Amino acid sequence: MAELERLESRLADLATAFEWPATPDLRAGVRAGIIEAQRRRRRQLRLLLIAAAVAVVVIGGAATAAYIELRGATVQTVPTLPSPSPTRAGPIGVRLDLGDRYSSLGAAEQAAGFKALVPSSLGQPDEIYFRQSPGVVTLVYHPRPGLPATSDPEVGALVMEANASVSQSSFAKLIGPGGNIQPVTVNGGSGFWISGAPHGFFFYTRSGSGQTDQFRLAGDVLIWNQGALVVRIESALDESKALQVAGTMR
Amino acid sequence: MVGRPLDEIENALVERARRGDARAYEELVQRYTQMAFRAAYVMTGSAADAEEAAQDAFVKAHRALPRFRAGAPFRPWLLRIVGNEARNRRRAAGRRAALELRVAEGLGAGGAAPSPEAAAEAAEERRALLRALGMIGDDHRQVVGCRYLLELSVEETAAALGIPEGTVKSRLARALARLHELMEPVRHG
Repeated sequence: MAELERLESRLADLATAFEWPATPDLRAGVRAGIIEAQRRRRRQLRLLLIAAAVAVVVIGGAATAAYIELRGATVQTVPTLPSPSPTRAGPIGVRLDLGDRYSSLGAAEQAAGFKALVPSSLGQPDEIYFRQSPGVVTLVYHPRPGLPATSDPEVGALVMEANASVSQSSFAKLIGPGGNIQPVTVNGGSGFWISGAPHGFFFYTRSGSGQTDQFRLAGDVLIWNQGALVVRIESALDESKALQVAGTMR
Repeated sequence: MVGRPLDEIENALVERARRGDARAYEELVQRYTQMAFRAAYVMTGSAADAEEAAQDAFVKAHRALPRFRAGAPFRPWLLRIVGNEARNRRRAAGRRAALELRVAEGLGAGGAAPSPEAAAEAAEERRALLRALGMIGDDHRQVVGCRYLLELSVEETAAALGIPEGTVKSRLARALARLHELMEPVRHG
């Protein structure tokens, strides 16, 4: 114990003599970064409001348009899908706009403020993200035997989870022509199997005004409510295999 | 009671910043730049990466402020964002942290000026400890850096490194044991 105390005292002594690099003045850079981020969000919002407006016009003229409400998500059929946002370059989290990457599920859960479910049949995810607005945890599984790649060659499955007890939806799905939507029950919760043609997907922001950030096309998806969460699994698995994976979400 | 007025100032600044007061946020940035930069430096091992990580963390923290729980401690909340930025940057750069460890000669704890022999011995001890720190793994060096060089609390260290507090304690115990082993030859050699 005395040895440990001596070591600790030497470390404390070292701290007093440690030469740190000079601390930069970040104020101007932070100020510029905040302004740029706000400008970028406004630009994205403008573009996506145009896309959403187009969709609304189309929906308005279509007798078949329909909303299907899940807790925490909106599923909507439309006769025509708006064009997706340009594909982003970079790692998975950037390409799919998943937010910040976390080294552990615990850290992501702490940031999210809810306990995320993990499909035990897939095991621990290869990458973990948390998108602060609107508050979505995403588990990324890389392709492997039994889990084929999706339209993104580096993604075998995306498991997204959000708190569904909030009044506002976290994400929305637009089902266009060629898309099928099938009601399902997963782990006692109601949900939908969305398959066929790619469908539109976007996150809502937390502002409460229904704003959107990025609009992309998604492959087959199982989406359902489990406990206080809304969960979606996007993969290249067929319905029965996707349901099997979902059945192991704990 | 000593820290209370400071806490109150911090809480007031955070509250003003949450309401959109840009000056209050700038004051928070100024107040925590050194901590954020040094924490990022411990994790990235690069002053340039640390500067970018700290700056981006402050930008992201500003956006996340509306969700900051009023009255909660600001430092661990900020350190969690800084830690994420630093790790992302280090991962993107695809390199291991090669933290440059240096001490200023002739400085250190103690009030009265030491004798030349004592000063030389203290300097040699610090150099030996730095060498030992350079020989332990990144994870161990980071936890020692946060706790002893940055003097962060266990909670703050856990937030910065993105690991549970229990892991901080166990990792720190292993790091100290390893440092102790590495220092043995110096003391008895």
